[in-house]
Amino acid sequence: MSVEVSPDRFGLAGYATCFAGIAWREVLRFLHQRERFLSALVRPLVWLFIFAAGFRQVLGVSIIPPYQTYVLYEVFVTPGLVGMIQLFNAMQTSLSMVYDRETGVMRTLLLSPFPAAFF
Amino acid sequence: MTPPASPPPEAYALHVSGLTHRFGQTLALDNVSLAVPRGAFVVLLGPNGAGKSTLFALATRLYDNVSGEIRILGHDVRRQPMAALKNLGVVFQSRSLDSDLSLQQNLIYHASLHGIPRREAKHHAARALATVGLAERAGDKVRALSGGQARRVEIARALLHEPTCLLLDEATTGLDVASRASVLAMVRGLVAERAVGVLWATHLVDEVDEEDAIVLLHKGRVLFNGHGPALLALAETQSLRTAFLRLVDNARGGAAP
Repeated sequence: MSVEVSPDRFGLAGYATCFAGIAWREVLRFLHQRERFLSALVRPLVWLFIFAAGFRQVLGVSIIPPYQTYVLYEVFVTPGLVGMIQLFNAMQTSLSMVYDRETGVMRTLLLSPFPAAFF
Repeated sequence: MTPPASPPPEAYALHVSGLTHRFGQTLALDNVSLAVPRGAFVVLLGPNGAGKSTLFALATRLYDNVSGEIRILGHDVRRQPMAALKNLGVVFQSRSLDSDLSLQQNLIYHASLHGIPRREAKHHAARALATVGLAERAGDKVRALSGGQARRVEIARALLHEPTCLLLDEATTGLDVASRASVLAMVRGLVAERAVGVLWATHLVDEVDEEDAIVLLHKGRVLFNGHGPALLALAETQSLRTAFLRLVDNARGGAAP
């Protein structure tokens, strides 16, 4: 068994491997937590198909410049919903750092030879 | 094990000199020096609160060592962290595996943090799990393992990147007698097979062999640094347990006003 670790593990390819490994774990954890996955979907879908469908006749945007036609409420709220999905998922993903710290998994990351600033 | 001055620092898997660390007003480590040569098994023996875990946290760069020097294979942990940490494997006192992932996924994650590509990591993971006798459980979630098996996975993970220095902080915590003996025998086997320098921190005297190199730590100070027979001679007893208790009691008495 070799004792020295080959130096190329810590070149640019090593940094890429390290980044890919961290991202891969986050994806795995996201997929493993089905409740989190479903709750991330439910909130925007409720807005889109229940609230927006209910309010479509009342809260649409009338024909005023720059719009050439009447804008339905669900069309109007869709960009906002995309932003909302991103915001809440970003918050939940960052919570995994808290989870890592609580469970001690964070130490694995801190022991990596790559510079702490990289993380 | 000990004479810290004569051979070059590269000869040691771990070389600690003049290490002092404070938590506010509390002195956690007071001018601690010790050395673990390559291919040696050194026991860091000390009661609870002796400073063992603080020493580990400093050696692994979890805390920044303010005074003193820690070298792993001659590389200063503070000045050359990349060179030092790539040669270091650690098993912490408490669990640090992700229980939502499988054994293999945990090991691949660790490998990626050491820059080991995925394909190579799978090969390393299979080999490390085989070393600790858990090859057939590779696909199981960590939460399905017993305490002893989880400890074995932590050791497999610490060995994955082929370190030359292995630090184990009370690695048998929470294990039954049989599992403790098996984990200890496995680590001693690694020392012989792979010439890994091991620092085994414990408060359990029955994990120490009389011939082992021992560093006795109490309230942040090294009370004894040498081999078992010298410890027995110093305490004028035939039992390591009695020697340990006697030296610790003496230190307590000495510290009293």
